[in-house]
Amino acid sequence: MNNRQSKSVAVAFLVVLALGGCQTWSTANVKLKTNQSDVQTGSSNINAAVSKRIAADILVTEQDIVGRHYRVIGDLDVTVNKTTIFHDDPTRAMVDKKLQEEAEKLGADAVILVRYGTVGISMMSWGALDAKGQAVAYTN
Amino acid sequence: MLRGRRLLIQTRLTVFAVVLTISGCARTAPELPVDDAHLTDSPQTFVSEVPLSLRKLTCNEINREFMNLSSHDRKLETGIYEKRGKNQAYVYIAGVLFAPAILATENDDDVKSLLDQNQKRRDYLIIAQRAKHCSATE
Repeated sequence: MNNRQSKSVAVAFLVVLALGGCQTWSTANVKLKTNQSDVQTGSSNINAAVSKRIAADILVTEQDIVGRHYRVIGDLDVTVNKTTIFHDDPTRAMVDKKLQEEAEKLGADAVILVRYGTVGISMMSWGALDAKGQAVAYTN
Repeated sequence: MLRGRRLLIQTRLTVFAVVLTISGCARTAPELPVDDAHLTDSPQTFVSEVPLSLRKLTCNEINREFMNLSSHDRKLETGIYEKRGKNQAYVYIAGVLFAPAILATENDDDVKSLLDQNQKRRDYLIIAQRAKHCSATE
């Protein structure tokens, strides 16, 4: 294949990627808490039953949950990236969905203290949006 | 001649990479509170960290302040998002055609700093909210 043909193939590939394929790709980093103690009572609750809550039902909030006991399962750090410069920027809804998916894997009931970054160019992507939060499970 | 050309390309790529790291970049989410002890039943130790103006707020005022902060964040982010298309275009042009185009990008460091300050304020409000045993959020 000569140079011109290679360039044509490369351009065609980029066009197909831009028009079809996945709009975003994501990464997640989970840091489990080693001290699994009940937040409000101080009692150890390591063997509590794992919640069966599905991702869509997991609460995602920037605030804390007061008035209800919970234990912290771990810290979540997720990033959603857009695939090419031509795709739409990732949104908070996409990031929230990723947080819920990761929280579901941990058996969490909610993700609290969520804080968001701001969409911008990163070394790996033309548009990246990240968020951090704590996955918690209710104990009462 | 070939070595000179190679050096020129390497220099351009290095400059491009350096400028790229400071132009139109994503702002990462602020870190989570370091110590879960912030959220314990007896947060009095940490209430002293909270500015007096926030400590005096009632539960309703704290909830209202959360909404004000969210609203302020939306306004700040709208300004950043409006420049996204332009920033991406400049970076693309800089990479493909004309490297100095990268200088036209805007990083909005001051706006991002304000967003970080808002998050810090939100963290203080959470400490105060817990210390006052405010009602549940859900």
